[in-house]
Amino acid sequence: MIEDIIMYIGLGIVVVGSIVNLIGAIGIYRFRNFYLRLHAATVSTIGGVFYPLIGLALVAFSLAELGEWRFFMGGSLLVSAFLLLMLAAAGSHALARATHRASISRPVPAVADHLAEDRGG
Amino acid sequence: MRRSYIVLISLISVIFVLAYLTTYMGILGPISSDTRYLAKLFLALTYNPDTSTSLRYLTAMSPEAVTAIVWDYRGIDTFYETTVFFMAIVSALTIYRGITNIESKTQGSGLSIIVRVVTKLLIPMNIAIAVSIAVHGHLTPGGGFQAGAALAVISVLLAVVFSGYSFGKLGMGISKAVALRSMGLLGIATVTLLPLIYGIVAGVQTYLMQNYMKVDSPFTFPIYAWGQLISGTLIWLNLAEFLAVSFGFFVIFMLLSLREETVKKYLGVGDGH
Amino acid sequence: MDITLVLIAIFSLVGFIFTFLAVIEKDLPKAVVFSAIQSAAYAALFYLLRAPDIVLVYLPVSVGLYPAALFFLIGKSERVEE
Repeated sequence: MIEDIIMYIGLGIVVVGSIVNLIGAIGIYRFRNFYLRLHAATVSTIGGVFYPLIGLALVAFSLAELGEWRFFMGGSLLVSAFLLLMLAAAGSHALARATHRASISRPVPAVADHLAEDRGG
Repeated sequence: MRRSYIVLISLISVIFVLAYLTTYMGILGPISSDTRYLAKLFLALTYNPDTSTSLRYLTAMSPEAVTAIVWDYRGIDTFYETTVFFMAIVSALTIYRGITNIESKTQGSGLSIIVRVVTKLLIPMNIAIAVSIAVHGHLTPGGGFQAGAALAVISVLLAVVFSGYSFGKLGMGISKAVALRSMGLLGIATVTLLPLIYGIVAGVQTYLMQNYMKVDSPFTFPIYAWGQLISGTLIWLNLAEFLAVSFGFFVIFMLLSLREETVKKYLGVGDGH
Repeated sequence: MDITLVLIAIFSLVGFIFTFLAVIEKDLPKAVVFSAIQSAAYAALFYLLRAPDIVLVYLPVSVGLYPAALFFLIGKSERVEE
């Protein structure tokens, strides 16, 4: 009984993740400048990969017929989810910062640019 | 641009035609779905603790067939590959000769604090993965070169995230990395020559890079240590190759991440003189 | 049909397309990124063809070390191929 509940929670998280992935894909297609598109890409990385990995880990934990191997599967899924959570955030931050420093992409219209003001621009 | 798309599509269609011809028309002959005889032989022989038959003289005592082939059955071949890698690094060191240590006075810029913290969290995981690939090289897929390449990713991370001058701050100069790499090569040479020394001392016939006993040679490296399977020479060769490859890559990326002005100042050429 | 064969076909097609893009690209950093994507597809192929030893050495070298070395060298020379 409790295994079924955990499994359906996991599957629900996977479905939510796929919906977020679709939203992220639409965002990459529709947004206008680089930073907004990067935001959409990060939404689909965190919401579309991190949450489904957690959900799949729950599904793996709930499968009693796998025996003790379900803990190996679920544990490796959780470790990958944790790594992805750190790496996606750091990677998108580094991309955005490098793009801003090299002034490759300028958002139009830019309401405020505190980073350039801090640098004395 | 239109022309390149036409080239791409025609190349892909050629690939599909070739795949169709080879798979369904049988141009290269029938495709066997059975495991080949040689593979079956290797799979049966690489881990064979059965000492009753004469087949035990052909075993490498390692359940990982690839590592057994790489370091036991074809050990001299891998030794030659390691020598080629060694020569590549020696040539890079020859170009940058005179630069022994990166000065840590110059403050490199590096990336922002967020990326630095994430990288600091990742580096211990990377070291753990690399060491586990090296130490389990005779049990699971992996081995010395794989582990060395995995550890060498750290050098790229350090050079990009913390700037090339962070090596000096960590106390990892070029001379120290070269010394560690030479230790790895010395380990490979030692393991290769140990059967020879044993043969001279004990007066029995042995072979270079011998792992397990042969028909005419009783010499055997210790196969088990503390109840664990270490497969004789394989774990030592994997660890030595791990040191040699990882610190060889470290030397290369330390040299590549130097600024051009620094290099010119050291070499005494160009504008920096 | 076996799903492994379908995946092999898809990954080899991806690898081929990105090889082509890396060859015709004039902007060298972009070409290096295309080459890294091709290498990732090839790593998946090696995994599907059951060669995990090759995957373990191919992933760090072709996605990490080789593009890094090329980026360092591009930074020391010119960005766009003439």
